[in-house]
Amino acid sequence: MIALDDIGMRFGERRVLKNLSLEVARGEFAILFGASGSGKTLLLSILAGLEKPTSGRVLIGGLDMTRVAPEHRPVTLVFQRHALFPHLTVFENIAFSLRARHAHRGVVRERVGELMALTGLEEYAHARPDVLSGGQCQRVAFARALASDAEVVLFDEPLSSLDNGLKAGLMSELKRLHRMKPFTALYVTHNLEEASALGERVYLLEHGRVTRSCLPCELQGCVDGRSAADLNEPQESAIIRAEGKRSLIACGR
Amino acid sequence: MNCGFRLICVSVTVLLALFVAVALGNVFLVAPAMLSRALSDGSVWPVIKVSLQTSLLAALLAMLLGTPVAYVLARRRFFGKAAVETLLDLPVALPPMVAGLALLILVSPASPTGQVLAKAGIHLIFTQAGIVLAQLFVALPFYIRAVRSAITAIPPSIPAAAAVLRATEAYTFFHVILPLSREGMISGFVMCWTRALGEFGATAMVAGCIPGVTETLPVAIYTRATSGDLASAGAAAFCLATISFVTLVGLRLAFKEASLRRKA
Repeated sequence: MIALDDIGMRFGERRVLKNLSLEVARGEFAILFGASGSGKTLLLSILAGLEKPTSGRVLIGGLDMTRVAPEHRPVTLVFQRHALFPHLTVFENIAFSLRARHAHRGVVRERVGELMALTGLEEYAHARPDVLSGGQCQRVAFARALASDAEVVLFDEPLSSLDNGLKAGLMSELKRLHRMKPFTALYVTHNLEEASALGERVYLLEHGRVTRSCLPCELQGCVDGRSAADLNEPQESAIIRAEGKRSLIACGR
Repeated sequence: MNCGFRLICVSVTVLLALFVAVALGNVFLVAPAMLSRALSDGSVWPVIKVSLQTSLLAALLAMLLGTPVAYVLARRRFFGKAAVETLLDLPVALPPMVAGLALLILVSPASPTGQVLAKAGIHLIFTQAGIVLAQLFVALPFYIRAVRSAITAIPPSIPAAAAVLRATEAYTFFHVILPLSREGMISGFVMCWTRALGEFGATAMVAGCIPGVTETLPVAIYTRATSGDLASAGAAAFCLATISFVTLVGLRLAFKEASLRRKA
């Protein structure tokens, strides 16, 4: 379903992603595991079309989507800090993608109602994001992503800012959503627990390359006693994070 | 040491506030008899009408033209962006008389642009359209600056989220960027309008001062004061100052209310 073919990305002289190749099968819940600042977010931006790679191809469903605009890709992204629209209610946030595609009013009402029920958000339909808790915001973000009817859902460390109790609840909710609607998922994290609990296959991102893949139960051994921070040179982290933020601005969105 | 420093700061603040109050007080304390006479003889009303008509039209045009420009400057990176920004900002730093002369040369019948405009039946010299052009020229940068700041303040992840939710750039602009920049647009509109309302130099150069046709409040204040008609000049100044004052207070109250509503 998703195939990244020899992706390279450089910012000036700095090569952030180096001949990266990766394949995720249709309906699979894959994990991209790597240290903070290893380029995971950048890779998701490339997949979502928010950033153009310096070299290589992005194939989705067998089609070359490297130069296709984000709104024309069958891909959506759940952001680390939700990125909910602050001026819209929960209902309007979830309905956004449907309305952007000019869906009929009845269809919007029905689909959003269904997704709010699925994520337990019915009583917050008219609330704005600023009155919701972190967990509720993330549930809105999940529902909003599912409403886009994208075949591929990318997750950029969506649970990283939540406490352990909320995290466990949302992880099981996410697994349930995936069972009910088996979308293709690529979930980025540097947390072993999340990777093991959610993934069907784990890919390790080290030094700008996917160096190996393993089953979630093998992840601990795969990491081989090293901490996640060891998977990448720490001094690169801040630079890559800054470049990642800049890339969102650079793509003019 | 701290006490002395605080005393200096407070004294300077009080002195400045007093200076502004005394200077403007002369305008607001214009004799009621003088004001009512000037207003009742009917010579000030056409001036107010011309000023309000032209400045509101200039501010609306600034909104229409300035919003996409502010969006491009806030969200896009392109070759020569710094030069474009400087150019668009130039009217703020330019003396209004120079701006007026530049516009006069641009639209005069002797210039190629003026000839094209004349052929199209557009006459800008000594007309209200000329006033709008001059006001727009000097006030547009204020609008662009305010809206650009508002758009820049929107986190990049918000429009990026719209894009990955299949919204086109145009849909995102109208349904995400504009609603989130509303306060910047309102304050930009008001700043632009008050600047246009108070514009004198460029307006006088392009449109002159034809009573009832191209005579705006600032131009009227100047021409009437220099011809010795202080009653009429005072009334015009009173009207201009009142409009500015009410606008400023209204804007502050509106933003305060919006901020309280958000906090609630």
